[in-house]
Amino acid sequence: MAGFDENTQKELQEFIQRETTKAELQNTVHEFTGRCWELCIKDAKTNQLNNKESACLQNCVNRFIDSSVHVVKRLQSLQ
Amino acid sequence: MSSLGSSTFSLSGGIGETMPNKEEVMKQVKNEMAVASAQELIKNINKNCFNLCISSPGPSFSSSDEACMSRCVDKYLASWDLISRTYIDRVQKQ
Repeated sequence: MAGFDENTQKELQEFIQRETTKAELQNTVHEFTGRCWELCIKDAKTNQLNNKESACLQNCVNRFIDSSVHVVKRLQSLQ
Repeated sequence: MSSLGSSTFSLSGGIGETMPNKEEVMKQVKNEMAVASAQELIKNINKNCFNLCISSPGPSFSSSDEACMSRCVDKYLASWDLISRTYIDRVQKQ
């Protein structure tokens, strides 16, 4: 980042860090949407989610996070 | 990204080149991230809606194929929004 003064460089670094965090969050949502869509959505007879599909998608996200947390706990207990 | 090539600043900023502009850099970064995310979304919609709507490809892209794809795109976007809200809620609780 040559050509910028020190303050601007710092500001830009912080900006890039924030944007990277945002991009990581978005990528996680892309990944969850793909995974949970495959599990929960069996047709596109209408253009809206019905109650059952919405519940399945929400449960899918929450159970995936629970599973990841559980894996870490399990591995820690094995140490 | 050629579609974003209108910007005139240079990241190298060497002698004789135009001084890079902070706002321009930020704008470009935001733009490129938005493009990358849109590309990922389009790729995923294509894959999942093709699988759902074109399970046995016929000799043409029929009007029922087209209608199914349209409904599926709407539904995929609704799913993306719901999952985004669910995930952010969960992350904030922890």
